[in-house]
Amino acid sequence: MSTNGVPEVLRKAGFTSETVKALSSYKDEPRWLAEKRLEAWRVFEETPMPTRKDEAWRYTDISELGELESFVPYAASPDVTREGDLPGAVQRLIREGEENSALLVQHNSETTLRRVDEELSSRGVIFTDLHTALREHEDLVREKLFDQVPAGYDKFAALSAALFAGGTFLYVPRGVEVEVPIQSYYWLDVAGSIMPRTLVVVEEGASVTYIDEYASADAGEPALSNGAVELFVGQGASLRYVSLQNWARNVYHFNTIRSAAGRDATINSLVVSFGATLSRTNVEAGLTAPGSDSEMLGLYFADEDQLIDHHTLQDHIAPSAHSDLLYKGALRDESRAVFSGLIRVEPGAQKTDAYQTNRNLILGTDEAMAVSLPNLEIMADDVKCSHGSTTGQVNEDEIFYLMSRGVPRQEAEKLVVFGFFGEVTSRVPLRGLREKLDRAIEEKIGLGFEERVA
Amino acid sequence: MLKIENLRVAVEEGGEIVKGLDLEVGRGEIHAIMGPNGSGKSTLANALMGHPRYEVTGGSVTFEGEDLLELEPDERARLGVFMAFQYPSEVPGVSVANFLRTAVNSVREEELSAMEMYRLLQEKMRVMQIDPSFAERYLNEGFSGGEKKRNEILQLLMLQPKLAILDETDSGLDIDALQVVARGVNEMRGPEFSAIVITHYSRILRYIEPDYVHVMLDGRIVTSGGKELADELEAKGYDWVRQEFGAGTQS
Repeated sequence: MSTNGVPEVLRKAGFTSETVKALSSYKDEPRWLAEKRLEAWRVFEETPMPTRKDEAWRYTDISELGELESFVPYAASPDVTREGDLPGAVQRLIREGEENSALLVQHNSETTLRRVDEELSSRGVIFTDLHTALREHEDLVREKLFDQVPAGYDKFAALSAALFAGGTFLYVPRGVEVEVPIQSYYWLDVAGSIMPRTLVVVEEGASVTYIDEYASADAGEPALSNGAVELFVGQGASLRYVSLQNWARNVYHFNTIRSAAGRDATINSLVVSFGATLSRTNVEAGLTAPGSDSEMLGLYFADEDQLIDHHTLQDHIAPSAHSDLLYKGALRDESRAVFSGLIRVEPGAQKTDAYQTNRNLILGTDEAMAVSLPNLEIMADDVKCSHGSTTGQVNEDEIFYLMSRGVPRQEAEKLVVFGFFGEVTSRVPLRGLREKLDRAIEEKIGLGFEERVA
Repeated sequence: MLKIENLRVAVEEGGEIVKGLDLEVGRGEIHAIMGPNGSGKSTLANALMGHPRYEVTGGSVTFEGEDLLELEPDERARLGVFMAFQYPSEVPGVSVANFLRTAVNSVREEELSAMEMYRLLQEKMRVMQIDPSFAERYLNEGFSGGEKKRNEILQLLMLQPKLAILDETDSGLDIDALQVVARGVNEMRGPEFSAIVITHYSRILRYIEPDYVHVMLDGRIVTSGGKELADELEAKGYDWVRQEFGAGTQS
């Protein structure tokens, strides 16, 4: 593996302010960013590691992660000039993924491949890693970077701001409609840490579908992925955003996805969590302008001793906005799932229309546990809001019904589980992605959950 | 074809419901089982299909020489046993078409091609006067009572079993729906098809004419006869059955 002249301090375990400075100078960053990073580092140092005494971490114990400072901060990647040079597993991810009109591959801490259809570039679409974007489009990046996920958000956001590397910048100019999805792949094959960061700006009247997909080869030793995703959608614009997390089981995944919507803007998000030993994702939709609309879909499947945690916020700041959240998860073995969702309606956000549903399906075990915490905080009086949550086992009457038609138990269970997730996947008009999700779900079901001996 | 001897069935809550029942159904025969609420009719149907909450505590059931009670519900279905449910389960997210494809290919030795499956489904939906858009709806989810029952008979037509057990398929149906359901069953009628029609009322038997009628009371068949027994029951009511055959008057 080439180290590409990566400074020594970035390659050895431990984060310090020296690491932050070394990264800034290695990437030859503008002074304002170097200062922002150091400021974020100070916030990181001042912020205590969350514990289960903190409300937002009550059901998610991260003590086994140990000191964040113990990870190697930066991992280099081999040079790549064409798609055929990528690791075989990454080529397969691309082949089996959604058709795309532009592609970025981040391997460990570095972006190794970029392809953008000529037609997109000619219409002014910018799609590149964040370091290149900072060199070539500094003003565009500077205006928005850290605006949605600032260092002050939490300790992980502070670390991400201080040490992000690689990353994605997507800019869709006013009125440009991108038909074919754009995709970033994040591939990790070493122990250590990566800090991916996504910044998407969709200008007025423009539209695009963008997918972040995370996958890895198990490096044995623990690894950390600490991400931040900032989404800006302008007036009347529309963004479909997908986050597909399918890390190997040595990875601890932390990610915060936040969006701001302009007047009459539409954001459809789908957050999928299949992998990692511990996965914590904050998903916050800011309904920041009148008429904005946010559909928030979530799909997760936990097995073995995985812990999958989603904290969501539908933040209704402007009046006459609509949000609709549906998170569905299956659990088996000794896994845990946490869903904590809040609909917050600020004073003045009249005519808010907000819905939130979380459903958990426990598959053939008494050991798995789902915690579901739906919440409303309403400070306006003319609103329509509802929330609901259910957690239950597979219904034996349904299984009997299907079996009575000749369908073997294993197939019947599969039908029920696919049916359960179908309510989410059928709302996503991306065929390649849906097939990928179906395959991942099928793999998770494996031989069936009744046969498996504990 | 089907031979039930001294069958006893218990449920977790409620103890023994079927208390030593004998019944033999030959090839091509239609048997009606009539009886008041609580006489054990539905328990019998569920036990024959193998519902896990119904425990067989005694007796035997053989189907074409095979011990039915040893088999899982799906294995019974593959032998050619079918039950039309009184209360079919809703299965969210699973479309009627997808489910029928899985089911038909499970009971058949050779899988049908997509085109053959499509044609078969269109043809059977026509018989049942079901709109083609029905195929894409989720199984029983949001179906009216009548739609659920038609869907049960649609499955009967698709799966072509040797023995169908209709568990109060007539309950809650208006006369038009009842006629459509009966037409579906009569479509199956022939020397290779047998049925047990379980009902509270004799009304359905005007459309599906039985060869034999049995009256069930307190977990047993207390009297049997031809189709004229249904008319007698209609005229005299279940009180007459209780007086003639109820507890205390056992022969």
